[in-house]
Amino acid sequence: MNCKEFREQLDALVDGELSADSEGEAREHLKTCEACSKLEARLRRLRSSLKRVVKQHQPPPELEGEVLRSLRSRGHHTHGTGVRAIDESRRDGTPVWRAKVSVPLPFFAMLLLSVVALVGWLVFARGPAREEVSTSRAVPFATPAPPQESPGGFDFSRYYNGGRASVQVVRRASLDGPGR
Amino acid sequence: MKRGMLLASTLLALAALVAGAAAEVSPPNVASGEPSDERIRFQITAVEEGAAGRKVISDAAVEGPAGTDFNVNLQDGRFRMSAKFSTDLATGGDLTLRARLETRRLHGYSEAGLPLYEEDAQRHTLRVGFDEAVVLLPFGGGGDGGRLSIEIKPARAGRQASGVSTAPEITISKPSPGGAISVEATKVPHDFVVEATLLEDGREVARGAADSLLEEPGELLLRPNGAAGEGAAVPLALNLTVERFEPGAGSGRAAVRFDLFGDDPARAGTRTTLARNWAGVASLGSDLIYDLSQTYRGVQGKRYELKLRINLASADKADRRD
Repeated sequence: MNCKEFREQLDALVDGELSADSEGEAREHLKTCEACSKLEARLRRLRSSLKRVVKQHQPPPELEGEVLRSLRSRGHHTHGTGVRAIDESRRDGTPVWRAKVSVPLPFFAMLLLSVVALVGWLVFARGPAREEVSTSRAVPFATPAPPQESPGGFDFSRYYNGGRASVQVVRRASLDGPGR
Repeated sequence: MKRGMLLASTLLALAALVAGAAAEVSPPNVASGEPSDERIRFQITAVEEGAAGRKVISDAAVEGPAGTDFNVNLQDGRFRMSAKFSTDLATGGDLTLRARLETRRLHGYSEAGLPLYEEDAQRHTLRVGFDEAVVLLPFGGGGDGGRLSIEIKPARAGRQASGVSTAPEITISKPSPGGAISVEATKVPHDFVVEATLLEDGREVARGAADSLLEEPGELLLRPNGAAGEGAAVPLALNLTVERFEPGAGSGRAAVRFDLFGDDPARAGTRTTLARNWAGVASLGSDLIYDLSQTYRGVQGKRYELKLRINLASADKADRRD
């Protein structure tokens, strides 16, 4: 794995989303590349800092009540929105998720447009998903060949695991030994 | 008297035993260039080793005079391997095996539907004792179906009787399923002597000779004999390979391929390439002649030619006479 390939997979590595093989390759690369190693450490630090900050800033419990009170005091602003319905459902003991929410048409249209835009951005602007990238890298522009036996029905593919042919000299005793 | 006869007969028996053992293990006199009359047998067994144990897929034997070559070929619908083994008896009684492995595997298909192949070529030279074996692993360590190994065990098989054919024999005791693994054997000369001569207007001005092993590149230097005209840029060097030998009428034919180098006039002590990848086929002992007038920097107005002659080395010459 070179630096370019490593950096393409860095996010997935830190998120723990790589396959065991890919993670192994990435870790091997880290052993030999100081620059990538620093980059990886920096990204891990950034993520842990973000987590810490988010945990430290929990909203105070009274915030929700204050917001609702503020909205009620404005009366007409909340009329016809889901906020009032939620508030009423709390008062009469109905669970929030069963409250009837009425949404004004312009707001609903905006919401729908936003969802469509978000999906479009995810599909087109971000490019192929990470899995697709790694698949195309493993088998570049090729579809695998289906197994094909010899005319007599012998298929060597079961012995193949990507290894290279080799030839070596061994002591005869190691071949003719017990159990052979 | 009886005791004396007993002693004599015991000594005689011991002498016979020692002589027999010496004949059995004595290494051939290869270093002196004398031909060996030994016959060698190679047991070639394809074995599948997996969780279920060891299973023999095929078994064959090649037997022939020292210097017999054999090929082991593997082929199915998308994999092909050609493993060529050239063998020679080495000094000390061991074998020298030169192995050439060529593999080709169908990897898949491109977007245009064209086949994509994964190819590999390797050369190895191995020294093998008769108490050793060569293990060929066509797929390296093996896959889900286990490991396939081709075991090649050499053994001495007696002496070549005079008047008996020197052609190798193949005995197949267990054929592979569907002929997926096949064995071929040949006996061709391995050792050649190549002579090269540079001619200036038909007159010899430089000469060189070198031993050449079949399919192995080697260097041949032409040294001037002082007859060259003033300004001729000898010496020359050839990087030459005897690529193949074709038996046939007479002494057979040999194919050569070579690059030709000469001294670089601009930088003393360095070579410049005069010709690359020139080739030819000629009967042994006859001349191959190449016109160097366009390539060689000689005396203006003179015609230069390179003459090559290929002969068998002495050991192979004697073999061919048998």
